[in-house]
Amino acid sequence: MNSSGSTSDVTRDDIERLFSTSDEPCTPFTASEVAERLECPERTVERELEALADRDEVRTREVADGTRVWWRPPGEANSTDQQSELREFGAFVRAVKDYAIFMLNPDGTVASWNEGARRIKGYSEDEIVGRHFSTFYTEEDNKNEVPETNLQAAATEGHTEDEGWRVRQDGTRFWANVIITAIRDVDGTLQGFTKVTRDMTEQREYELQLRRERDLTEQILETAPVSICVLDSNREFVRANQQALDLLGADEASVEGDSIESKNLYDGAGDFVPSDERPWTQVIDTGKSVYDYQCRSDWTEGDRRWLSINVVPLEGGLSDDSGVVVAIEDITAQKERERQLEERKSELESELSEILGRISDAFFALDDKWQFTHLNERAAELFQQPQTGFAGRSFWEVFPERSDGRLWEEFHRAMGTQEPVDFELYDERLEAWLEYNVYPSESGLSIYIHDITDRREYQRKLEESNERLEQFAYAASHDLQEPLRMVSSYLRLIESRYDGVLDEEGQEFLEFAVDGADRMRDMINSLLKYSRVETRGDPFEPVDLNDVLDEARNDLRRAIAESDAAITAETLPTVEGDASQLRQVFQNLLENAIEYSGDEPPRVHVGAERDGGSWTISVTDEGIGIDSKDADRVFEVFQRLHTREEYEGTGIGLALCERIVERHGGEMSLDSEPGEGSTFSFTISSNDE
Amino acid sequence: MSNETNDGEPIEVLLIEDNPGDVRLTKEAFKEGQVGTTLHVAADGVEALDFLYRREEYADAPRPDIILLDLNLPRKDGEEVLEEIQNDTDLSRIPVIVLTSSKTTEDITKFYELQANAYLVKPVEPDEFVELARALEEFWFRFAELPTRTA
Repeated sequence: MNSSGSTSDVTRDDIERLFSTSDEPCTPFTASEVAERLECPERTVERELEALADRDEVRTREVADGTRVWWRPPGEANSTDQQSELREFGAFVRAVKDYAIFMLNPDGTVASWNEGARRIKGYSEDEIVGRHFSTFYTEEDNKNEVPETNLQAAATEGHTEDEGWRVRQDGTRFWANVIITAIRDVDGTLQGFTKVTRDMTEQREYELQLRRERDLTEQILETAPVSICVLDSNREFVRANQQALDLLGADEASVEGDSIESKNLYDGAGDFVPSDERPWTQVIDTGKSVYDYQCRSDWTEGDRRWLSINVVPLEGGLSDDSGVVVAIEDITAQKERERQLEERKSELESELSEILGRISDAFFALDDKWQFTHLNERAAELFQQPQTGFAGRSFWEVFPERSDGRLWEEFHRAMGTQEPVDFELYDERLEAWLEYNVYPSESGLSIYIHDITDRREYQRKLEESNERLEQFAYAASHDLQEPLRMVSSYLRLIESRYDGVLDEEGQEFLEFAVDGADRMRDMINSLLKYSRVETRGDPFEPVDLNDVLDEARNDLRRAIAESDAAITAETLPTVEGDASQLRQVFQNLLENAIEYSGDEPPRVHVGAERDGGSWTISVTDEGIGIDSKDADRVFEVFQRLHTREEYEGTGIGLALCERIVERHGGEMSLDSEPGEGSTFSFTISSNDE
Repeated sequence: MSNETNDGEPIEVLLIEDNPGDVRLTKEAFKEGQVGTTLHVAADGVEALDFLYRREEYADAPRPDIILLDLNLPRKDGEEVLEEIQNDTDLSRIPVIVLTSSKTTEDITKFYELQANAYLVKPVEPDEFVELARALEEFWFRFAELPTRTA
């Protein structure tokens, strides 16, 4: 070799230059072609090419007719530097962990393996090299000949990319991104394939998640019965759901990039809301959310809709451009209902206040916090304050001086028991007697005040007058007793001293005079009793009517014995009353029953019947009875139904009874049939309340 | 009279009463009664006190053993008279019986408030005359031992 000397060196360099300057580095040449280009003998060229081929710097191959072609292999450096780079690259590829990078033979069997492939697919190099790459595909893909199709595509297209499930050695699946690239030699013969596989499982999961979230958001947006749109900081629409589009009277294409400011807003009074007062402007400026901003719009067909707008700033957005989310609810129907209710309420209120205004009583209403909710004109007049000064104020605030007294007590009682309370009160400030009727409910009190000063005054005068009459009756009857006593006493003296002196006629006259004086004395005594029922009665205390009846029967024991009367009685109640007066009632009624018994021995029954909070006590006889037309007269003073020859009595007994019963708050009544008997009844309240 | 005091003298009675009818009736009552009495009459309160204090025409008047007092008197009424009697340590020892024409409770209460020793309803019926005399007797014997008699 060295013998060929310099010529051969020059020639080898020339050959190398020829290959490297060739347009196509891989272009194959025959030895004769090289010799022709270098203008040197073909044998020399042939020898030099052989040498280069031995050094692996050129490749050679025999073609059809036994001639050889020579070419420089693609990408293969012909220097030692390039060779070491190649080795480094190879090592690098083998060490790549995140990608499976390996070679396939043209038939699809695995030719090489790297660390990434081992990690992703689980096979070691020994296990997999030589096996067909369809091992990595799922059964289903294999059935559909996906591996073959992919290889075919790579072969024809140069490379193919595919995503899909692949199977690891342990049978588990992963989502792979695969790129298969065909490798061809200079003459285009398929040498094999490189295959780069990436494990995309996590990324795919993430994408799927994102898609699901996006779908969900979309679905929520479109399902929500609220108009929702997103605005950027220029108040331009970024997106809007269908509801929003409907409300805005726009379609998706036209709304994008449109400004919401092109839509007018009006406040409740119908005035235009300027841009800087609108909720989205405020939110964009301040970053603070606005909720339930109520306004009106004319966005659709000039029909003013009531809207409730919520605006929230978009937080954590990817871009710096901070937009807002606007949710708009059409509350027109709700507003309409509110308006109708308000209208109805105000109608009712004016109706009520008209009614209350018409009533002559002062009226006011308090809520459960004692605040005035209503007050009629008359009440304002009564309290001598303007009607407008009460609304929303507490009763105790308006009338602090009344708070710890009777009103406080009574109002709280009414509220506490939920029972109406009535009471009369002298109002020193107003110098008037007021009657309060307090009606409670869960929500407060209704209070009617009636000025009863006149009634009170009238009542007082009446009482005074009654008292004077009683005094007069008492004085008259008391003073009448004196001269009458003279008359009676001296008549008695004449009777006893001159018994034998007077003739028969004289004695008869004297008898009439004595009888008249006696009756007059009885009448005066009765009148005295009658006039003093109210003023000289004992205070009321519990009285057992059984005892009272026993005493009355005891007082009448002589009359009972003489008339052979039979008096039966039910068990009587205990009542509140004046025992001595009640005894007079029983005594009078029993006396009458015995007196007017007719020819038969008197049979009298005393009964008691309960009727709610009161008792009805009755005294029934089987005597001569009383005609109904006379029924009222029997209770009048000195009214007699019978002549004195028939029946004795002063004619004041029943009047006295009625007066006593009235003093006890009861009533007297008579139920009678002439010839059948009479029942005198009186009511009296029981003492167990 | 059969029933006189221990030393045989009649009981000195001062009746203070303006009504001549009543005076007469009282006299009649004593007539009917069993007790020997001398009845002195004063027609009004002033006269009664003159009698008790032996003033002017009553200088020789006896000290009464018992006083019958009507409350309703001209010039000075019974209540005032009773008060003066009660305020005089000497006179207050004489038993006073108030005469009344009514039986009403408030009158009776008033008599006892005035520290009357008793009250009697003025008689109407013949047996009430006897009652008056009997009551008087009772009082007389109850107060007979008191030092008033020795004055």
